[in-house]
Amino acid sequence: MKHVSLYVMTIVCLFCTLSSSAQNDPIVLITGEFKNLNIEQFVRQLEQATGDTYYYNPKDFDSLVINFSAKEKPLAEVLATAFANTDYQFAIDESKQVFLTKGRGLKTTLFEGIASGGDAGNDSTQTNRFGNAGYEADKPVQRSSLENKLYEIGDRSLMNVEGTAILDGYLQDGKTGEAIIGASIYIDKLKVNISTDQNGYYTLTLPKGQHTLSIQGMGIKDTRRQVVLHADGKMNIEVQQQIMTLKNVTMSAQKINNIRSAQMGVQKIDIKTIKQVPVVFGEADVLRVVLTLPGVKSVGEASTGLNVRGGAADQNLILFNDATIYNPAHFFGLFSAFNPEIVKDVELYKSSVPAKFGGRLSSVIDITGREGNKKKVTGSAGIGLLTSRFNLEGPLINDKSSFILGGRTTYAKWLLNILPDQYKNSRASFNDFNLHISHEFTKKTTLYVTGYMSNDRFNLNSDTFYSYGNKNISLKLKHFFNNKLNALFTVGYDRYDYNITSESNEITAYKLGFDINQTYLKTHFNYNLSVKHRLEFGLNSIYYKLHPGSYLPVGGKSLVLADTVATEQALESAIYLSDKYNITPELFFDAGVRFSFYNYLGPQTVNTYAPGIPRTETNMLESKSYTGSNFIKTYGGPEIRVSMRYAFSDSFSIKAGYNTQRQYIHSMSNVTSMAPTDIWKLSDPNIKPQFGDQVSLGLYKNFRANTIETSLEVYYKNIKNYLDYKSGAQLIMNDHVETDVFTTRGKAYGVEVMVRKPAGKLNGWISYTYSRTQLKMDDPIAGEVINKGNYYPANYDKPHDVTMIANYRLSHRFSLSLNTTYSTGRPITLPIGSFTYGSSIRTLYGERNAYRIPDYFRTDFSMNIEGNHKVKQWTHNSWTIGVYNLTGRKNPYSVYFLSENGVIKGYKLSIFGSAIPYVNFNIRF
Amino acid sequence: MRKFVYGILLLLVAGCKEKFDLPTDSPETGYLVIEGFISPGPQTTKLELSRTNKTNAATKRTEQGALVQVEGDDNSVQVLPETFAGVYTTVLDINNNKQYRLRIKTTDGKEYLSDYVGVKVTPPIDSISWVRSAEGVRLQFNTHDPQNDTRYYLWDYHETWEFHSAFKSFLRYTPGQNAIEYKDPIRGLPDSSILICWRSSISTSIILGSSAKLSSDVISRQPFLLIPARDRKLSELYSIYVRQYGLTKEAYEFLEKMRKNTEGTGSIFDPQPSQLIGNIHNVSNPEEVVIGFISICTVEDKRLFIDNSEVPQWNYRSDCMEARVLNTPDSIDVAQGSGLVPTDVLETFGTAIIYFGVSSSDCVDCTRTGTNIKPSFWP
Repeated sequence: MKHVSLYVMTIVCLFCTLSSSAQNDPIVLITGEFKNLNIEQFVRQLEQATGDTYYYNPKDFDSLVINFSAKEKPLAEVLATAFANTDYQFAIDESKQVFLTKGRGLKTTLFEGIASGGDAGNDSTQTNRFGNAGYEADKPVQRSSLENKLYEIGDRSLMNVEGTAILDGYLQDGKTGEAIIGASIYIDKLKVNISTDQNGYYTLTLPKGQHTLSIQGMGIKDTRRQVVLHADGKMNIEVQQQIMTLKNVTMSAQKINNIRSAQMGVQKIDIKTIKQVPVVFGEADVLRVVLTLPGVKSVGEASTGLNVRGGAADQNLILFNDATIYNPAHFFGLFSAFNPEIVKDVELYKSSVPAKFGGRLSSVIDITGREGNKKKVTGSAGIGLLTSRFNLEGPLINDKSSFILGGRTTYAKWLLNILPDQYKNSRASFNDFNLHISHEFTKKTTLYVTGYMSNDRFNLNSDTFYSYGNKNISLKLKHFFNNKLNALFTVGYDRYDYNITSESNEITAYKLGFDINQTYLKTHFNYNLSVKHRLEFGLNSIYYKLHPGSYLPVGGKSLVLADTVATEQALESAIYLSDKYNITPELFFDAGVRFSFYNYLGPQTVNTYAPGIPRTETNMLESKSYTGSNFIKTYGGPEIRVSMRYAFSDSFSIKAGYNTQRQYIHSMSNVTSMAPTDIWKLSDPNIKPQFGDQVSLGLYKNFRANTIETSLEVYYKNIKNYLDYKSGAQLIMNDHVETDVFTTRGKAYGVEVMVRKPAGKLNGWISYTYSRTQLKMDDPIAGEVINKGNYYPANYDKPHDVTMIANYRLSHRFSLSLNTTYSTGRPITLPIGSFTYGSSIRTLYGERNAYRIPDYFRTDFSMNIEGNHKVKQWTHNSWTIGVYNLTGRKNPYSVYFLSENGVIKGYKLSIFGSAIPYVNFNIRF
Repeated sequence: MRKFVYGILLLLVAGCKEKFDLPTDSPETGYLVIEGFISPGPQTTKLELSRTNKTNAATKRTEQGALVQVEGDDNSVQVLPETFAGVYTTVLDINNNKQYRLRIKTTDGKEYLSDYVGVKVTPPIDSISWVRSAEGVRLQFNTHDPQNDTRYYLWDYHETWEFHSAFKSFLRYTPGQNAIEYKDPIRGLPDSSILICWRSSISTSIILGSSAKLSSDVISRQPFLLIPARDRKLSELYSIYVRQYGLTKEAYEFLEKMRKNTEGTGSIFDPQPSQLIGNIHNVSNPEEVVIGFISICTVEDKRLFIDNSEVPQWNYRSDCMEARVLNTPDSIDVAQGSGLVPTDVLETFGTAIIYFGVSSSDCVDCTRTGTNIKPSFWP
């Protein structure tokens, strides 16, 4: 086991030219004749005499011949004599291990004050041996934390240099032990590039021999690891967080992830970037920052509904640690429901959606929470203008399990108090809580438990109270079968509900409720078939149980007729397989297929309508009742997810992709934006699933030693069976909703150009998007057509969009951020005439969305001030001071028309019509 | 939802409201607009025909000279003559068990026909109640249909209030001179013709109500009008006359759409403006936009009075001020030139007027904002 014990020490040892001195008592004195001995013979004699363990590289000593005699000399003196006049060095440590080296000596104790795990200051390569022939899973895995050390995997003595070997392990934060997700590990020479999975796990199949692994990822320092691969083996790589150091070394040689990966239309932002972007009231907001990315729009400032590449707001799958969040907004949509202290990063897939995701047409927004610190208990707290938040994290069992707990609550009442008198009685409050626990049973099996809860409650100076909330819990088990195959098993439950109550008039006192529940099971396997093929496959299943509405009396005097729309149930399942296929170092394919199946389940009553004529209550033919949980209607089909990359050079590549998606659950809202009171509806025999496909092409070029990334992406997208609503549609408490909706077709196309400088004193990005989204309503069953059945612009069709996010670091403790955005105004429907009715002038509206509100422009500014950076102090403080809408431009939020004194007058309303300053204080402990 | 919409807008008030200019090149649409109800006799049926206009037009484009007739499914035909420009009135003979439709032939040769509609009998209004709060007095409807058959309601109202001039008028300028004289030198009474007046206004919004979600057809305390605190309407005596119409579901939906289209607040939480498709169509071109939904229903009405004494400490205050004017030709010239009206004598020396009061004409002459003809129903 000497090899094993050695590595523990080598993690912390550093080279230096000092020879060693440490000796143990009692001192063993050596007597002997050493004549014409080579190093092996010499060491064998010494081992017999002292019982010490010797480490050396025989190759380095092949020219050494030892000729001398010793009498009762200590080991150090013997070695000093033996190596006199040579450049060989030796070192003896406290546990009687002797290291023989050439050129430079080995220091066996640490310099004071050097943090463990540091990778600065060393500039040569040390070789040592460990590993075994073959791979033993339960053996401690070697940890690699040094850049310039050569790690050997497997037993080199086997001298087996032919063929390939598998190297796998975790990429971890050296300080907290947290897994580094989605980091890229690549080998330049071989043009091999992989990403760590959601657990930080990586696996590489490589030719045996020496390789340099380049590692880069969000929030970590770019780094390299040298390995010599003799056989299959495991290596956990510990990396450092990108924290500001006093002597910052800029590493810019390896920023080529955007060139290397095959995926298109993927953007990842870490929480550090998110926190730098100035936002209204200073609440670091995950979704607001996603909104600044090319291809992402929203209808208005007070809306977290995202429209990704022309998709509707309900076509985004918003995942928070595997849980689906149906309403990601707090406080009327001004804030997103994610506590920035808990979030690690957010990834947006708008084009190449991996086969493991499905069920939404436009995009996947995958928000990953942080894992708790596995080494010590820490926490943070923050105070802003509207919310206060805290989080606490730490180990439950050291290095085995950890927890992270976060919470946020508002005290927004002051905001309501500045309103005019008649709104004094309004109330609004929200809160959210997160808990994440991870536990490592064995090196091969880890369990994660995640819980999330959010609540919103408000009334607006009326007796009607609104409340809504998300509740999510999931259990995830990760298991490694062997170094080629690993799996994730997830079970979970998601719920979204809202209710509206009004109790002041006892005759009409009611409570309206809506909820959606889903129970899901996900299995996901990663299988490394060979160097060229890496497979992912799995099976997902979601069981939906939706209560589309209940309207119940409150109190004994209420005359409200209790009404409950029948519960809907459905099962959505999918199997998928994808292959990351390296054909040549330049050409790479990521091809996947996902078969999704959807079953609408009983018991249920289904209406049928006369075909080809408008679907109305009068055209209803029959209502058929199904009892038992049988399949009433089944939909399904393949979804294709293909993308390819061809790298012309290290700094230039071209990518193309084709994606299809199916969506079986639809949000229903006849308002422009997403409102908390929108309902969701499952596909049923009358409401077909939505279908979308997208082709995209991208060019990626990096400049200036990869410090500047540029990209150009073009896409064209078709949407089928998107639901729109008849005029005056009744959506809630309607048990024949199909008579109030009709399907539309959509097409969206655009060009997205982005220039990004991810690192350096000045960092950030500038993006320009040209995009169009048009809908067409020519469904004969609608009974009415919009704009004569021609294509018309969607509410979120804003052709031109320019966004700049810039951060300039003046010093390590002080940085400035500027955010500027311009976009074409949103389309609106304008009055084209007037008429008199009901003793009042009324507006006659023209074609839908034929006009636009004025263009949007906004600049925000913030300063981030960090406390001092001493690693050891009780608390770390930081301040953020900023101004939202610096220029005070009155961006129209909406335009509306009133008849005043017999004439129609138009008004535009802006929400943030002046510069809004804010301040935020954060403390970490 | 609607309250929510209002709320969010007002919550975010911190922002601001600015004028938005409509595109000036609005097309000449000229679609036919039909407003009114067919009333079973003996109530008078009144239908108003007009045309849609440019957005910036302030006047109503009446449709004159049309042939308007009501046809029964028993082949009866009754014509409504034009009694006023664009207004067609008559007392119809309607059988509650029959269905009727409306036919219109306009002078441009187009012919319009409505769907057949049945007669809806409106239940009587139970009461108009009111509650006082810091905001003012809120008026509410209460009604019910014992048959549980009406479910959808429309109301309109006509309110009238008595008000008094802030200052009594004893004096007037002597015609042609810079001097003043008593209006009633013999009795010394104020001018009663400009002291007490009445004013009225009509509802300009579409007030709808529905009991469709209730177990019985009851409308309870549905608010429809707020008299703001300290408003002049309640400074003396106030009266409101309301009419109630029972609607079919389709008629209700049509009016609800029109209401949302034209009374919305324009927030992004507002529904999209929707097309107004009524039950009247151009016979030869069904695509032509025709605005109107014809219904047949009886009308129920009710009148309510609220006296100032019923709202203690109403604290109505006019913004009127009285100024002192020295009785000299020069100062009278200035006062008269400023449009100020003399009120009463403030200071005398013997019988000579030294100072008299003046105020703006609105404060002295109530006929400038109302009528001094007492309504017939006034107590």
